[in-house]
Amino acid sequence: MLKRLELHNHTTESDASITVSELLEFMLEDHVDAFALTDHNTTSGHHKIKKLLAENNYPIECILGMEYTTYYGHILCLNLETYVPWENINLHKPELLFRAAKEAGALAGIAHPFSYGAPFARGCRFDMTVTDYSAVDFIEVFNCPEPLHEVNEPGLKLYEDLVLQGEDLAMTTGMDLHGRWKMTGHYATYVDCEPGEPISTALDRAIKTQKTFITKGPVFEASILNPSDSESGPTSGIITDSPSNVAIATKQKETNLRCHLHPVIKPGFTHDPESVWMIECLTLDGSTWFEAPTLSTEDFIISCSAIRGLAKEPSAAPGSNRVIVKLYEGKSGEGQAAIERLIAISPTVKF
Amino acid sequence: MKKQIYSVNGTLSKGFVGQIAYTVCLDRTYHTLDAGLSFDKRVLPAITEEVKEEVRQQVKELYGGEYSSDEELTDACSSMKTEIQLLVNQNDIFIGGIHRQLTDRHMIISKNFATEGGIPQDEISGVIKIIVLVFNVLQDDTHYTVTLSVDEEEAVC
Repeated sequence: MLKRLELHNHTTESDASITVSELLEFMLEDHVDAFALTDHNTTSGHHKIKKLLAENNYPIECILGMEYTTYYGHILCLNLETYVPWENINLHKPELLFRAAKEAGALAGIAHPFSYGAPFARGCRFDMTVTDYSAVDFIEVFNCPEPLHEVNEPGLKLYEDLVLQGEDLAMTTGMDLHGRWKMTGHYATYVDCEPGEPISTALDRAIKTQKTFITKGPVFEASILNPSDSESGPTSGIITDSPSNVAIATKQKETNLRCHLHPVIKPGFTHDPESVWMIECLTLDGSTWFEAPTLSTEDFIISCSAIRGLAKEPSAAPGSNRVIVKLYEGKSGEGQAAIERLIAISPTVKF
Repeated sequence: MKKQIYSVNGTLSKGFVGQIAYTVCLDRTYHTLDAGLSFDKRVLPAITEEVKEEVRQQVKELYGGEYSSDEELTDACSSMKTEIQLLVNQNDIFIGGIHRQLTDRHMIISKNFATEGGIPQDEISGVIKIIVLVFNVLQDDTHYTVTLSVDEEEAVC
């Protein structure tokens, strides 16, 4: 079962305008499945939220966390039960703090890497030099209230570049809530959760296997369909391999990419029913765009041979072929930059 | 009865970044702790041409950007603040932090009550470490004061 998570939220325990109790109410009103409590440099809200949830039968879970707000960047920690000191933060060895948080059982990621920092808000931009990205679990690719082109677009590109180069990083998004801010129209993170499974466990698995979904609306997933799967697999897909070259790619004896919409939509999502949907397949060699005539929960199949970077003989090493697959509303060249039309990002496809 | 057991003043230079820690060994067990931090010169007294040029250069170097007007640049300069935060440990364990844009703050912690950012503690004893976290200092000779008070009575919310 896919659950919607809001992974970056503050309260009056640090510098926000809503209390822990008010944050909980706000998340309940928006039908969030689980939210993280990530105040700046304090875990003082943890016992308060635990008490509220224990005393009430709310249909929501809380992910304990904290935003390490250092002089050189913000490090978002999720599933953080124990405060880990950060005062020895080292501009040139941030891995030390990431690893210390992970040893304490937390998931540690880079928050809003390209926010504006000094001279206005020192620390908001991630200025630290990461030498070993295996210490980092995730990158917050969208800090929703931040400027799209100046802050979030380079954040997404950083994630994409690192992942396509072989780093095993998950992506997250967050509202960075400091008050009762409207969440409609912004991205949320979704993860798959087994029945009865605590959200902390599901999140841990999703981050460590890079299986997080980001969307403003429908939850979108791309996965590899091997030739043997194709013989018995779905056959309903129709896709174009370029706007002018329509191709039907079903039951082909080759590796295909299956794009799938889960029947889960973020509340408040609206779109033009006449819209054209586009799928971008990004590899190290660049982007290939495909037009999806309809938006539905039926599979659409893309031949990997049509994807730039995969058209040649794919690498034999398992997992060394990587594709980042993104869903857009509307065609490119319609006056808006692509990222302004970006609806959803699938977990990275590795094969 | 509330007792101030420590008070220290310090002076920071423009551009200082980092933390300054004060460690206090308590003589016995108390019920309430009050750690305070205050500082002056939060904002610049005036946005001079020198300040504007400095910010213009920084923004160009760090972000590759330019301000479209003098008014925009002046507004940006006016938004800059000296930022100093506070964190408190007891026996090397975190018991609270205040991360807010304030020039005067107190963290009060006792068994059943703590101000926001703090975690209630059954007792106040052992070694208290107050850490001043300096994120940004706009002016030379920025003064700060750290205080530590304790009380044998419990704080009441």
